[in-house]
Amino acid sequence: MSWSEVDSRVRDVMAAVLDVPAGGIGNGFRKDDAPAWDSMNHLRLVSALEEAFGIKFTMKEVGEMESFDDVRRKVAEHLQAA
Amino acid sequence: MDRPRDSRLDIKAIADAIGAGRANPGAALAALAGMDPEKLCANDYSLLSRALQARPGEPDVKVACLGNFTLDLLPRYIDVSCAREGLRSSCYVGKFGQYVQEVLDDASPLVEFQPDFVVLALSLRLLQPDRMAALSSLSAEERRAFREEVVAHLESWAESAVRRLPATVLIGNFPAPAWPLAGVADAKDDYGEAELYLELNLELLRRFKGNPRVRLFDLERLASRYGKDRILDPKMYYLAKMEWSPGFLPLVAGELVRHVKAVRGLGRKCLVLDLDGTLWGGVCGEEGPDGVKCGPGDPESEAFLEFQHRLKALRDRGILLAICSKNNRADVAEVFESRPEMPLRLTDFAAEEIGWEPKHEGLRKIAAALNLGADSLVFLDDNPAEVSLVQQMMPEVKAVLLPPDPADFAALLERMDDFEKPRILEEDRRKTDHYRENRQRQELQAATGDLLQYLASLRTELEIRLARQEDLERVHQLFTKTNQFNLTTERYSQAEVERFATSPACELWVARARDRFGDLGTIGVVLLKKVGRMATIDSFLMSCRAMGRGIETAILNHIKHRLMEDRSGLELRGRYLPTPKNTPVETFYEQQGFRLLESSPSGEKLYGLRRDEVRLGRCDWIRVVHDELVGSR
Repeated sequence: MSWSEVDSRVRDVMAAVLDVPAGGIGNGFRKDDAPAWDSMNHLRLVSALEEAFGIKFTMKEVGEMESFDDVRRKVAEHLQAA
Repeated sequence: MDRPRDSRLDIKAIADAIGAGRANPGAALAALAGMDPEKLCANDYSLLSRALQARPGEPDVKVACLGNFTLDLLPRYIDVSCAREGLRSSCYVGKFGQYVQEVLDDASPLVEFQPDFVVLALSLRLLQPDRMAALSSLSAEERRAFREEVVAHLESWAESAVRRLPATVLIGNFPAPAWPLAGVADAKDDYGEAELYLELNLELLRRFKGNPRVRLFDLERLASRYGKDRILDPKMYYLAKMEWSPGFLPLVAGELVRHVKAVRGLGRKCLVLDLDGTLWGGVCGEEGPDGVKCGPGDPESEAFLEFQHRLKALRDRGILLAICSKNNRADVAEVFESRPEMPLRLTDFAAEEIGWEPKHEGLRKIAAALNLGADSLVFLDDNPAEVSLVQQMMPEVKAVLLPPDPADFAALLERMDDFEKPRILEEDRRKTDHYRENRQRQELQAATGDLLQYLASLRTELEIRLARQEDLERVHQLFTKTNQFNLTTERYSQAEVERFATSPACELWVARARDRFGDLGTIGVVLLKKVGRMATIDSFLMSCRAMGRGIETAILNHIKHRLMEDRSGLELRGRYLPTPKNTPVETFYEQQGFRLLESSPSGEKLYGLRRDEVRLGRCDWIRVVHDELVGSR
């Protein structure tokens, strides 16, 4: 999977969970930009990402994901480690 | 991860079609119904449930999810599972850990929500943290006391819930840990962990068996099916007190829908089967009766044997079996006669269409012969062309293609949720017999020629009395499933039926029939609602197998007698509400001498009958038996 493909998949998952258009999720996209990004949807996002990429975040990582950049960096780290 | 990308796009297209406010999302919902909900991913559920929620309209079923751990993720899975069945759901998630207070407080959001179904799921470690933390050091006595406390807590909660809510209550049991604290030595312990959970769950099963409005929600079985190693995602538990990993939720929602279908009577009534390649291996017209595969011996024969065993179990559940096969009748009869090792006999089938006409014609005839709508049928065949033709010609029938390998036939059957019932009643167990007896009646009628002579020769006895506690599940079943002889088609819940049976403002009558061919069971229900001097026949319904022999007249005569006995100037009212299926009773009240008072453009009719207008209908070939309860309340 290329990095641009990872990016696009992360965008798709975030768009579905947070109910925003995938095109609206750019590099600077943060928690505050999505009203639906509450604690429950945060967990939905985590589990949807884990399922989509076949990875497993740590509790610490879950607490550190606050933006699109955070998310795709964590995903990339896991994919690289695998 | 392995899902092909295009299948995700399908989901998106379906969600768009549902959510865009299209005039007819039916095709999208049908596509949804065809998918395995356990194969959808979390993202699919997000897309679908959001689209479903955007649809306007009243819910068909209201579900409250209560517990002492986080259940907030569950509703969207319930929404999708319900939508697959064409049901619009509305869910309420109880406030965290407030399930006791919410039931007891009349002003709680739960009570205000007025759920149809309540699911209660408790986590033992959150319910009894001290005991669970010390479990390995508890004595056998302490463990037993712990078990009893939990059971008593759930029992008393269930009692309050059914008393205070109009709902059917589903109580979750407790998945035993996959890894006992004492390891393999647990089984040698005096009241070890496994024993504790087995007894806990056994007690719950036993105590909730009696009340029709309390049902065991078998999480232990669901967890085993899903895999106990996966049911908990520890991270999600520590982060958000979630006892269930998201992947487990489709199973929970699917099980809930099974209960909803069972309680609401939404299942299908008849399974129609092909023969060659379906009931047995090979073609009986070619291989001959001894050549077809079914029975002990080679692997394929064993698989068909098992499949037939499962079909027989469905028959015992009260599902009618029927045959629709392109064959010569004589060849088929020979197979059944000469192969006693096959579990199914021809008499196990309530109807058969064996010949060379298209299968959808056969299915139409089967539905007509059994007095069922085509939407009550499931059709199984191993031939894709036949299945697809039936799907085109009769979309109401659920036509299912068997998997390519007979090894998988039995599993297909056990996973189908079309045949769920709330409880198997005596009427269910005898259902096929009832239909066979009806065939004998029809043969007698054809042989007799004269209708009155035939009716007299049946020697029908009819017992009419007020419903008792033990009748109420059957009464509820008749309310949910009767379509043709049903004047108002009110679908009352079990809770409402229970209220009618005890309310002084209502009379709930049941009729049970038998004749020379057998016992027809409880076949009729009349609900009278009294307001002042007006007694309205709110509901009058009768099983279709009792139609056409004057039983309805005898039942109504009984109600008319009640009117005549009354000295207070009571007046009787009757109602007819049209549905696509109850045209057979459209003019029933006219025929019975009622006066038409009002009729609306939609076909709704209101009738009246005063004491001085009463004329009893003729049904002197029926002997009516009143038991001691009549009029004594």
